[in-house]
Amino acid sequence: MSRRLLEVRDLHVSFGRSRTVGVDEVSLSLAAGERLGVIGESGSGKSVTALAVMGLLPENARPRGSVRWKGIELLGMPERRLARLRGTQLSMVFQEPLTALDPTMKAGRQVAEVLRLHRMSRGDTQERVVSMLGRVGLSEPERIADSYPHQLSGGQRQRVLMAMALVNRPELVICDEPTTALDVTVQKRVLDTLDHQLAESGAACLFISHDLAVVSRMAHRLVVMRHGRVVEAGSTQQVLTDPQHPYTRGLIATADLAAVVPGERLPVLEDFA
Amino acid sequence: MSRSLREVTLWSGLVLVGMIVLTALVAMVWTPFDPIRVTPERLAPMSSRHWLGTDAYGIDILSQLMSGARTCLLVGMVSVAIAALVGIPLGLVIGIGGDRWWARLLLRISDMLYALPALLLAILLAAALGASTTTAMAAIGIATIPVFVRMTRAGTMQVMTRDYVASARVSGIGWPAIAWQHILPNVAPLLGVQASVSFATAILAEAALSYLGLSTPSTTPTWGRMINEAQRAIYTSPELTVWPALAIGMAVLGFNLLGDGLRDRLDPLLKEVS
Amino acid sequence: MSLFSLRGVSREYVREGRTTRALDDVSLDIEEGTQLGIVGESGSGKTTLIRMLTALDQPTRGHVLFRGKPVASREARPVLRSQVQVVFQDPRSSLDPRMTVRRIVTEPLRSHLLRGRSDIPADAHARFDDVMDAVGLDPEMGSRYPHEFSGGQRQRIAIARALAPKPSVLIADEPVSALDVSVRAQVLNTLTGLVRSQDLTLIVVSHDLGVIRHVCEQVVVVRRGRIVERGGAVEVFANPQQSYTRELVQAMPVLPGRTSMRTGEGAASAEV
Repeated sequence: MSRRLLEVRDLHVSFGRSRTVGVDEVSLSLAAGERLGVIGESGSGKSVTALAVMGLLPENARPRGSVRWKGIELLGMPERRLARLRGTQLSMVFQEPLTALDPTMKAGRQVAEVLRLHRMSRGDTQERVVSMLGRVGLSEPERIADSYPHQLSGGQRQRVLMAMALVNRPELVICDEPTTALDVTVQKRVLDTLDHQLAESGAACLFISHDLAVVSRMAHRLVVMRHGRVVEAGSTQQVLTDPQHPYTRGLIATADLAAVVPGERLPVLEDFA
Repeated sequence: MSRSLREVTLWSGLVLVGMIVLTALVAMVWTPFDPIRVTPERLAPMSSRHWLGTDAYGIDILSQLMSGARTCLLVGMVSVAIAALVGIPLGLVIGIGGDRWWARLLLRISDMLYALPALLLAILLAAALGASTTTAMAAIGIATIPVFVRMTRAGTMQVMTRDYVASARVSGIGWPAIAWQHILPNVAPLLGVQASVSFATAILAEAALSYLGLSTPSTTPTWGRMINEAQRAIYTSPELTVWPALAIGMAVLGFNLLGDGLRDRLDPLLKEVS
Repeated sequence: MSLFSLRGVSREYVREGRTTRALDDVSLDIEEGTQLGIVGESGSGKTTLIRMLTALDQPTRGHVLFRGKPVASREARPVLRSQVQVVFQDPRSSLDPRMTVRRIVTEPLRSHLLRGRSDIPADAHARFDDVMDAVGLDPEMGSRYPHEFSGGQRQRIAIARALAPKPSVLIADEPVSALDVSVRAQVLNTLTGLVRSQDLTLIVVSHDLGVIRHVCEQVVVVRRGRIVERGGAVEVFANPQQSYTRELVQAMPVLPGRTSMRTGEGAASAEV
């Protein structure tokens, strides 16, 4: 049996009757506790890859290839078994917390729901929810637990989502653009917390973003995706200092505004084609 | 709900509505028998001559049903048109007005009308003007206005938050032009769904009114009055109530399915509003 | 005379009985020909400030003057509407999905306030070609709809629309925050190019100080409805006086191992 936690091999996902290709021949793997960053523009297939791993692809998607979790094939696994994996061993933090949270349910109950789904007697649920909310850096966890999503700020909502993703101590957390909707200041604080929580729990992480600066801050290894394919992969250090693919070089150049004299022309991706 | 099931909803709605429209069109030029003339062939059973038999006055049931489809569609169309023509502009104005006092006042007035049942309105109108197809159409139409006001207002307020409206305002485009060029095209799908659903409600309301004798006079058959008349023979020929009831059911179901089908198709926009 | 003058401007909103103050006694002069950046987090009041400048909203207290006249006045309005244009954050929201690109871009030319004015281009077709060229898009694409374009292209369509009535002031509200980092450069290049070639006054609002630093010479930092710091963009960036500004500078994501033009403390790389 493989020591790999997650092994995606030759994943191919097409959509609908027209068979629009979302992901083509993508392979990647993750060891326990490892952090893999997936960088790409919108439409590059990075979110589709994440959804395929979680078994959350829309109905009209046709996945092929293999997604193995601790050696067990996830593609084609019955929904009931998948559902049990999600939330206990696998979890996900979405980009837009306002749509990922139920607007009619208090934040604390939403975290409790995840917890209750998978274990625990009622008694200590509330306690664990509040302590989890505290651990993701919310300063008044009791008050937050008692608030509806619309009463919270964007950063607070994202932290609630993070609490939901982490409360069952999963072995893999998939983060799909978790800070894209946030201000830079809030982004930094949220990333700091995520970093800390992942380190503490030892969970592996698949971190997806269009922002190279953000991904490289979070990940040990990088996968660069474009048009549904992996164009480059390697350690973060290696990809950033010695990029092989021109597209990667373009991403690096466009990521760093501060490298250009104010007012001068910024490099664009087309310069690297 | 799966995608294919959604398509089934839309298509079965279209087929049902199509059948009724076709029947009504045919009935304008031809029915097997005269749908109003009394004959001695009373309560004839189903036969190759009278497919669905005849009623207590010896009138062919099928011919009455076909003719009734015409009335039903006419009432539906006119009353929905009244409601849309008044309700949509009013909803736009109230939506654009937002929180201003006059907009809130207009909305309250519309809500008060909402609380007034079509039936009561029809009785009032019939008492004042006499029972006719026109009074039925007017009553149902007026009673449906608030539905369109609410729907248009909700859609308008949604579109108002879009930056293309702000962009137009920044360029000095006036409200009438914004309403016409930006708001209306973007809420149109929503209103299409509403029209279809309101059509179903209107058909039901018309059936109820003509059952009570508050609608079309006896010179033209309607499904509602067919039920009323069949009631007199309910112990001897209970099947007479079945046919018009089935026709009403089909029409209401058809327009509702059509509305639901359209709603699912246009889901993204509608989700935001509701 | 300043292009815009804000004098003690406050804006309060009452929602569910609670009063929130989006702007709190803001005074600011914006001179003709500057590139001004307004930086702050969401909820800091920067978008409200733009709504005041463009008369989309009225202050609860204080005055907003455009060339010395109140923005909402009869004299100022037509001039304001023709000379001040806005590019909004999210082109998915700022471009009407049911209009063709040509109709979107030429919409400002159809405004009744502008019709017949000598400073407004009369030939909408020619103007369309001009502004599409100016933002680097093919005018042949005029019959397409917004959804057929990428995010960066859509934002450039929004800029083209803003340019159509030959404005002297361009206001950009978070022009790149809804875009991928990799296409951000296209839009910023378009903006800086326009400023240079068309003699525009540019007002950019952003939560990202890096963006402001690149396109603006002046910056004001807004927090909780108040201006907490102002000055030259590069100086504020290099040597922030307020702890809040410092926090904004530190929060900017940078590539590990890259020496960025950050604070003078030199400790910035500790982040890596």
